[in-house]
Amino acid sequence: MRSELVFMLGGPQGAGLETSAQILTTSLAHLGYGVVSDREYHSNIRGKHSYVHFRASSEGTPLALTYPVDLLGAMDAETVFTHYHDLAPGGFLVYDESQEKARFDRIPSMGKELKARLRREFAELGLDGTLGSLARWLSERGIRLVGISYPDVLSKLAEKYGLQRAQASRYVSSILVGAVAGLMGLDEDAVRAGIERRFAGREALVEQNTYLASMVAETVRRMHGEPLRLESPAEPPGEVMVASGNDVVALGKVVGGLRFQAYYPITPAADESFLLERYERVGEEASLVVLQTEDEIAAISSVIGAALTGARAATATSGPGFSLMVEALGWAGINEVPIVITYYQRGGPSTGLPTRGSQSDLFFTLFASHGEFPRIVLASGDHLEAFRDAVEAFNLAERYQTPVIHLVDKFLANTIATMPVPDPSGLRVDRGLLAEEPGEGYKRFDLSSTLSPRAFLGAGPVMWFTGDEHDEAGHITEDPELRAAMYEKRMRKLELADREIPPEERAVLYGSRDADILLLGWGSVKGVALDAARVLEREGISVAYLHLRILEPFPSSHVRGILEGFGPGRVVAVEHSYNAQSAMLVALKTGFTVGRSIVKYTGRPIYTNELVDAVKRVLKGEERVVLSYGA
Amino acid sequence: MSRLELVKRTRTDEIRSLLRTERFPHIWCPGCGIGVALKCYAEAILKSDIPVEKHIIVSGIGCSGRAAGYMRLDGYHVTHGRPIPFAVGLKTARPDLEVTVFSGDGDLLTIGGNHFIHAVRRNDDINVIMINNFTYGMTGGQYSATTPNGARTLTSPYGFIEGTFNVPYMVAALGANFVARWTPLHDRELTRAIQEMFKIDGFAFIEVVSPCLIFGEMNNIPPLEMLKHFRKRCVIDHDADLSKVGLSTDPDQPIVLGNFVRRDRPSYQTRYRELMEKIRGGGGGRG
Repeated sequence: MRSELVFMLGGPQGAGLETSAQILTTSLAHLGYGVVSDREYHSNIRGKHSYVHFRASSEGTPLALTYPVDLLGAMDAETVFTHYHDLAPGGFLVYDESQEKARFDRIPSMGKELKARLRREFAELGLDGTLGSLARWLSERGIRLVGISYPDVLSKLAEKYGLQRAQASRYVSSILVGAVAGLMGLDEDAVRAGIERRFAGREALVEQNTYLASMVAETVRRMHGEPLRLESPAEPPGEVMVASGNDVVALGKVVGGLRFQAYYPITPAADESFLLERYERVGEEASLVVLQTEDEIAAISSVIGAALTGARAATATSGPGFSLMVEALGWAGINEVPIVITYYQRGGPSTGLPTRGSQSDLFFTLFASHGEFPRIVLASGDHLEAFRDAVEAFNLAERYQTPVIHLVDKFLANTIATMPVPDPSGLRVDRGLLAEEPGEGYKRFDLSSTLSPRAFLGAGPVMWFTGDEHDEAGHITEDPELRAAMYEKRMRKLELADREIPPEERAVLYGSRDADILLLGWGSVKGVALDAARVLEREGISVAYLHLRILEPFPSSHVRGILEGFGPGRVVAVEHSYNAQSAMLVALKTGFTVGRSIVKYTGRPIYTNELVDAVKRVLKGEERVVLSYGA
Repeated sequence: MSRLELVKRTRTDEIRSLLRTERFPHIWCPGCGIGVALKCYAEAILKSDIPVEKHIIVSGIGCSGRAAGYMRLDGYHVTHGRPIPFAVGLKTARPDLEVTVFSGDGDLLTIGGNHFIHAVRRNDDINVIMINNFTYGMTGGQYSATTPNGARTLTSPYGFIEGTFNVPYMVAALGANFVARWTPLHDRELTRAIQEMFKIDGFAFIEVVSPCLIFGEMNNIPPLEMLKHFRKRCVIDHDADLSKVGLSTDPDQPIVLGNFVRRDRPSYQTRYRELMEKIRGGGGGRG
């Protein structure tokens, strides 16, 4: 038996793929397995090819995704044509055998670039372009075929429950669930629990989908046994939750005391706000207002207004939305307003790749808006970090009275993973310095200390705020001495934060300072870097990983110390970008030149298998490796 | 001192107490209408039943944008075009406050037009006093969305041809709960209209058609002449057909004033509060 399984389900967007993914993830979580999955989809509503890539393990939640896959479950022929390369030797292909005559070049939803690549490949292999010929070719090379006639199975379902044929076609998702459950030998009750959760309260759907999944599982089991059964989980399942990155940020914000969130819908940020909308009814006394505004300028402007009343206020957006927020960001900066912007990076520039991931906005967030003002930029590496950072972002914003940008990305947003239920008992709410009973003489921008106590709107004293430079009371001034004093007061807050936030929390070293090589990364690189380190360790190569968690204020001397121990030739920046911006930032902040980089900018995540290969290439002397795996 | 003079004096002192006179001289040109409108706002505050400390003023950028800085109220001078969304955040987080946006035509209807129409649609419970001086005065007199066709501005030296918002018509069509238009020459009516505005739950709007020296200079109208123009052309008609109240440069066309619209559509903030009460009341308290 195996301790882990990598598998993929694919099909047209909107055909129920997410349903299959949710059911299987919940079922596996019920059985105590750790699961991580990434959904890759086109920027369109329905019809284009999408897929979910899973990794399940009996030893806790896997750190990252990898190739090849042990099992490919295809809703349609396009999935097989698109992913047949991804199957491991001896892997399993679940497909619709009634589609064997389907030709790749007649699939309308398939892109012409992929068709051109397949035309070349099939010509070389001597295949006629049909699904049947590809399946036979795969079979000859050791791939085990699990052919199921989807129409036959669906008509059995239709007969039993008196459904129309067109209705029955909406149940294809459960054929895949059944096939995976059969091959993995999943307990029937666990699968049912997954289905019940997905179709909560809709008894007929629970019944019909359970029937279909069980029927397919039974057939598959009879013909193939349970070749993909996982070992029993190493630890008995404790309390776990299944959540996306969007979900955990939303939960963190609620735990952190969010009272006002304004946003404009944008991929891949909006799901966070959708979940928050459902929490508007949380609590009895305080409420959480979630406001969908007319644009991102209105979103951030109303967030600033709400923050000045004392409410913990935030927005969530992606690159195009943040571009619109930049002017108001400076207003919050000059007026020392604590706001939180959760920034989900996606592929740019412009509309770019709206549904694909990227880490190319680091510099944008560090320097956005004209003029100079302090900001704090923190980035989360995984679900648990994202949850904690969502809380911490408010604390930092209020403690240093400045905007905080919480950087995440599409990969994290759309990764659904099992995770322990976060323990909120260790978390704190730090509202920073507040004025006690502010009276007539209260000055919001009192120059006698770097941090002036905040008073909330309506607390007593009259307060003024302006986007112009201001005096201690908030009035417009152009006096050169006052200007300099106020400027310095603001900028000193960043120096204060730099002194107060422990550097080893801002840049976290995983592994030994004596390792053969050091990977440098931030955000969602964390999981794959640690996973690759584990694999390479087994091959005798020791790899350390330096995780940059707070990028502003940058922990310069701490990072310089670690990097100099390795030397430029043994430090590799790993990033989902062209420029490896973290390496540029390190050079800017420490003077240390990172000599090597591994980058990827196809919009797909870095996979463990390709990072392992790339590290080996770097060890052989390559300075820059560009990755591109994934459909 | 007669009794009348005493009353008048007290009122003036009170108004002065609401103004940050230590910031004077203000930046507005002699003959400009913004100061009068601001005085009317201050007077309306004093006459309102709402305590002074509950009144909040939010302004954008431009000549009228400086208004917040001259009031002894919690005041916000925000980014260009964004006082409305800023005010929406304040009001939604603190519904007990009386939030008034005081800004100009360029700020509210040109760069900020999108926020304006959506705030009316949502029926946000805010007051908007818009000084319409037909131009961007502070930057030297460029045209705005309310510049009348034919008018000369820095950026339309041969006459403006783009087209002009008929502001009361538009705001009424969008569904605002209160729509009025006055000029600084009608200070008593304007003050009363602002008092009326404070009582409205929902979006309340007053256009203050204001003389502007910058605009006058470019159109060869001396300041005093401009005031005479206003006096001669203004007609009060509360029941006016709003499709016909657009402003033009034609000296023979009337400037129609009045309190045109009063509706009682519940505001977003009210509807939100009611929704929450309903959900909490019937939802078993779980989130």
